[in-house]
Amino acid sequence: MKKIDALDKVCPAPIIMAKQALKENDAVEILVDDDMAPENLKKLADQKKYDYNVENGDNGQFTVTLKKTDKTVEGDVPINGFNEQGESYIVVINTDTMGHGDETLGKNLLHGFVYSLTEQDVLPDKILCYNGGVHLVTEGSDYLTDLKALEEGGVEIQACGACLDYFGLKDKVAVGSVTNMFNIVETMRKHNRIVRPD
Amino acid sequence: MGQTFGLMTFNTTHEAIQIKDILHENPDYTSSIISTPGSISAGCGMSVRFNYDEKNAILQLLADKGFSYQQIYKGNRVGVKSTYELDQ
Repeated sequence: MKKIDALDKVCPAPIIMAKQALKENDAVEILVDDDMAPENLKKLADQKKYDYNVENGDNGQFTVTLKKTDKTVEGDVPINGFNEQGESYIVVINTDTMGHGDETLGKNLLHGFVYSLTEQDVLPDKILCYNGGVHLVTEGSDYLTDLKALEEGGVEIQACGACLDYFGLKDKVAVGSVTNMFNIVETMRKHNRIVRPD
Repeated sequence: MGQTFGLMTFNTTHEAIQIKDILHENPDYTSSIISTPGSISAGCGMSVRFNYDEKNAILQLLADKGFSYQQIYKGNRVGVKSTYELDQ
């Protein structure tokens, strides 16, 4: 069995290493210490139909074993396909209007968009807000009721810290958390589908 | 059971936005503008969602100001799904 040392590697590195190794091996044993890694490797195993086993070791380490089965799906499965139905998506809101042509209409359309999000069968994994979009998450915003409902539904809402700072709103965040450009880029590249009310 | 709310539809998008603005000027009322649900109208459109308990006060306010609307629906939301019945 191929053994992989993925200590000090954070997600999604252990998954990428496991996928690479499983191209040439029927079974791999991966040593990890990122808390998220066993869960994410399990998701990979569920998608690709690998046998999955995890053993807790010392010092917060885990040994995860993945073995191919006769049901294993060959070919590429997106590493970020956390939603098993492949319906996973994130939403990016980068302005306080929706569409171009009329600002008043655009602002009201965006209200309709966010409300309609709350009624979707599949909620987004995350909502990222940057530039003018950060106004939605701050005190006095009339989006807070819908955004809080989405948050209660498990949606992670994140607003760009540099943007909040630019608008003088850093202390006014009323829903979700503050994030940075590195995390925004990471979130975007790890998700297959980005929905943006442009 | 679910969450009960009111929904007011209009003949035009402009009317919906106008009424939303009027209600937003008045801090006594809780309202928001939403896209008219497909189960009510096959076409596009915007509606005003409001606290059903405030229906009579809102209707009085609109009557005083001379504004009209198309229909009022009583909505019931369970989980992520809302159903609507004609209120009047």
